[in-house]
Amino acid sequence: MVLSDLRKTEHLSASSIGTYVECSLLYKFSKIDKIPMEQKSDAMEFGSSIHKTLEYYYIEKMIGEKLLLKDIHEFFETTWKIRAEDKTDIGYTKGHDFKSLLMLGKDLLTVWYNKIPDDNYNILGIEEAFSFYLPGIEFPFIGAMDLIEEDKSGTIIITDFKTSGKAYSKDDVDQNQQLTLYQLALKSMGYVGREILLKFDTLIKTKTPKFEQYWTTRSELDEHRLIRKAVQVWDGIQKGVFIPNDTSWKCKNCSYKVACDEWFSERFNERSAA
Amino acid sequence: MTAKEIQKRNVKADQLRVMQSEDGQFFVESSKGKILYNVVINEDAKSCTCGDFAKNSKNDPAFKCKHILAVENSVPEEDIESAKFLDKNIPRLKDGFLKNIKGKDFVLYAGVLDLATQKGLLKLEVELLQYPTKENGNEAICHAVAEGKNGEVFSDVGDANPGNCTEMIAKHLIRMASTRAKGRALRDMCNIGIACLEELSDLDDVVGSGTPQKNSRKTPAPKAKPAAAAIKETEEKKPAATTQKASEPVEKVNSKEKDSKETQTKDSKTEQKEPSMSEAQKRAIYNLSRRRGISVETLEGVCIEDYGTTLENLSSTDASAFIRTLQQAA
Repeated sequence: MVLSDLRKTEHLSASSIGTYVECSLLYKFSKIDKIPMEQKSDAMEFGSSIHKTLEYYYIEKMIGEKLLLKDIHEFFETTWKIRAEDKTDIGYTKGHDFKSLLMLGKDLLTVWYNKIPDDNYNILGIEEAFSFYLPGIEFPFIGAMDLIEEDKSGTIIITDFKTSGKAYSKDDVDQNQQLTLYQLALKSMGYVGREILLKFDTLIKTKTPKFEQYWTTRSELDEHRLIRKAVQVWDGIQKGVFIPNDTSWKCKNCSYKVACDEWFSERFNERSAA
Repeated sequence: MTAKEIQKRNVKADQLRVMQSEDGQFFVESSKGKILYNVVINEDAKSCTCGDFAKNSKNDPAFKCKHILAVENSVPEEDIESAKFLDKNIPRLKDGFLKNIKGKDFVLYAGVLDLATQKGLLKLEVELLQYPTKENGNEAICHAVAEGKNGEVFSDVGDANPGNCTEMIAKHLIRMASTRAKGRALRDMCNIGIACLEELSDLDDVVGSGTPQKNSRKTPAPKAKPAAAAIKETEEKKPAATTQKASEPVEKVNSKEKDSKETQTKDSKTEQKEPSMSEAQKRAIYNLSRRRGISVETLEGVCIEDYGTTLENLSSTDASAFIRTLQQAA
């Protein structure tokens, strides 16, 4: 089953847990009310295009083909054009537009292509969709692991592709709950007892583009912490607790700014009328 | 960049430690050993993350800092793609040459020779002091002299007679005496306190006389079988007479001692539970240490201190624990 099929059913995900914790009203708008985003962020569209390109590279690698850099550039250009060219619903950040991001994407992919280690890990899965239940939560957790590999000794490596504006800190890597969820998902797929390593392959959009791999692991305590948190989030969703976090720095570029302002003004109008 | 500038930096470069991570990147330790600089050398460009390079490369695209020079001096340019670990590696005894028999460690002659070569063995000579005859009880005595690259000389003697060799080796007394003499001299040179396996008089008692079987921690032990079946199989495979190379890692089950066979089977099972560190774990360790600013030298030191072995020889479990430790390091 592919991720798009899994998304048709009620579910939770690593990002939805994160969204609920950061701003549960935003969670309500997007996941419960299913309000379309007012605008798409350029970072998200750009990241998705890069992601698709890396996915393509690994699919070819799995079947024994090593793509040339020009093939990768071409694929990215096509993907980016389909997603962004002449699209008016993308909100570009200052200094960026369709063309500049096209160039940036090619530069990033060049750095990535030249720096990606030439390891011979056995590819077990690309964009591997999963669905599993955590105790105490009625909805399944769904997601897709970008890349699952296995080395000669049987160690499993789960990789998540990222594009980021800055290098990751220790906490960004070691406390990322998406990777913890992936580990839980992998275990639910029958990989209990296997050595599991996790990593981010991060294309960093600095002035001079960079590529960095961040390896990490998760302990059982990390898994337990995520489960505890997820249960609390689930409890909050069930009880209809949706609190706006309107002091966040993210509000400025929020995709639900209009919906949020309307939500705040609802009660104001009622009070004024009284 | 002037010749004088290159020469000045070359002198400094000579003192720097260069290493290449598993993912092919070059890292050069700062002169104080506190920072690792990432050096990239490819067909199009050469770059380094140090301040000297950042400052000077703007005006001079061909500029080479001492870290770039250190990489270039360590590996010929045409070999950079295939280079793994560079010349500044610390000599070490490879794990495959160590044998633990009945709880006691032994080193193989081949391992001592390998280590001595790493340390710069220049010359190794053997002289036969006594030819084995009936009169001297068929005892061969050899004298070995080893000379290191700095002129240091180590010598010792080795003896072999039918009483201190196995039945098979008794036909090759001079060679065995020679191997023993060389082993002892090289052990002194390498400062190895544990005895060579070839020095044992009762080799047959500890290693048996069956089919030679290479021992390596990296080779997974055969899948667990009932002890009796494992013993039977070993006995069936045993040939009537087999020429055994003294330098070959050997471990066999003594057909006369059932107890030791059972211990051997148990040991195999233990080895199964303790596989070596995987490639991915190694990569994770290097990645984490680089991100934490820990030099390879420090990494090796911590590894030996905490796990009693070199990084390369970590077990999978220890590697896993080490990764956690590195993750928690500030």
